[in-house]
Amino acid sequence: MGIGQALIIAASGFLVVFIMLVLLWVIIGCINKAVSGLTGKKTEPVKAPSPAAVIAAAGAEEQVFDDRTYGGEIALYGDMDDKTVACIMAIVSDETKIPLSQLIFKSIRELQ
Amino acid sequence: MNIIEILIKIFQESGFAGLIEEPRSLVMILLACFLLYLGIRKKYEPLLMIPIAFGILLANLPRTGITDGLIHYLSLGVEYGIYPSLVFLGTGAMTDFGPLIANPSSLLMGAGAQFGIFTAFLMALALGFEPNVAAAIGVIGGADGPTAILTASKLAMDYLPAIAIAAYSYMALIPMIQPPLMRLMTTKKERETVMKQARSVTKTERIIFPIAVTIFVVLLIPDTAPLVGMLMFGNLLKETGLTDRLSDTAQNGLTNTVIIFLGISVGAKAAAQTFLTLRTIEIIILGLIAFSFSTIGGLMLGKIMYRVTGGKVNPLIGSAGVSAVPMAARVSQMEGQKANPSNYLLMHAMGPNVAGVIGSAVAAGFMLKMFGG
Repeated sequence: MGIGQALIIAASGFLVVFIMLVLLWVIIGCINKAVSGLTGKKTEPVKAPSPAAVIAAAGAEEQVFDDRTYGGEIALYGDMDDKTVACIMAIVSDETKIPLSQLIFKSIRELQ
Repeated sequence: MNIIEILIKIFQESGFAGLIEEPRSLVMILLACFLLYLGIRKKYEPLLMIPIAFGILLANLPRTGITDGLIHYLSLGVEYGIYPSLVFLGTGAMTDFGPLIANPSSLLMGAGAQFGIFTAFLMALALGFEPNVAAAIGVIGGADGPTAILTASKLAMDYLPAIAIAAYSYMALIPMIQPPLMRLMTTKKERETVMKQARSVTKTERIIFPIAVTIFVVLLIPDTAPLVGMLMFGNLLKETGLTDRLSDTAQNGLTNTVIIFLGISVGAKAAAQTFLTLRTIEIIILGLIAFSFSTIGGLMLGKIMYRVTGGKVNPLIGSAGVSAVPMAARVSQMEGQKANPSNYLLMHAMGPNVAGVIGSAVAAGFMLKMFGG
């Protein structure tokens, strides 16, 4: 195979991948518009994932990325930093086998 | 026949005598032990590295005849491209495409991160590889083991073990390969960029997505059907919420079974005569180049998007476009947090990460179309 032909194939391949994924972008946009139109609702930005969700996701060996975000407020009693709170939430979720998205934490109290 | 003659006969028919006849087998046995060490001790992709290494070990123990029996039949799944497709079924069932649907522009970074495939393809041609082999080598840059194995099984069967070992080794080394390139390609200001949360994704969108992608991608490049079709089928099983048992089987039992068969079959293809050659070393080096250029391609697209969006996209998520789910996304997260401790890029990086899976499947489909005969 000549260098010219090889370059053409490489450039064509890269272009095909690009075009394909750009078209997928368009399709996703169309799906979103169609779903929004049918339901009459516009999708809203989600709340930021908690550090617990990130730690849980980042630490797993074979992770399934799902709705592992936590929304809402927690009353904290004691001297706790965000990382400690996130760890507690992640451990409770792991031990109870309940996803963070389905757990509601009302408060965390530090025991002396 | 006396005792001495019996002992001599046993030795002459033993594997030890076989090692004397074919000393290269000993090298392969040592290589298998080294790969087992990497998998067990260093935890380099152990789920596949250990079966592959053990396959190499079994296939290179002389006079066992195992490659004509058990391994021969297990290998049919590789030759016909069955195992990689079934692994993709499990991958689809484990993957959440939500971040990609929420932020579809990340598809561009998934596309950019296929740059290494075509760069390595050109380099392999320059080194004198046949075009079909060069295409299979290039796909290592997709950082997707099953895709690399499927392409190699169809385009370059003799080089399958080297390609598979290169692909999985570099996937395991992503935390070492990518960070220096990420720091080299981006400024501190760019790495510090905090991204806004993406919109929520409805269940309807999640269900329509795999169906639409399958119809569209497979219609355009039919050669992608075994990979994209299975990936999306697995994802549909997960997202409908009605087929939990099937999804669970795809994610666990089926995938684990197939990984055992796939790993041991691929490893067993590494016979000393074909594996211990200069070509293998060249493939390993080309694989590293492919990986590096794919990372650079993703980062370049990330930087372009950073500029186009006025600094709303952190270019570090571009490197996650090399597939390798979710390791590459974790690396983006870690590098982002190093630059700015309040940065949580993981979910954002999952967009390019899963886009990369589709991108590498499309690139592999393109190579199969061009060189598959």
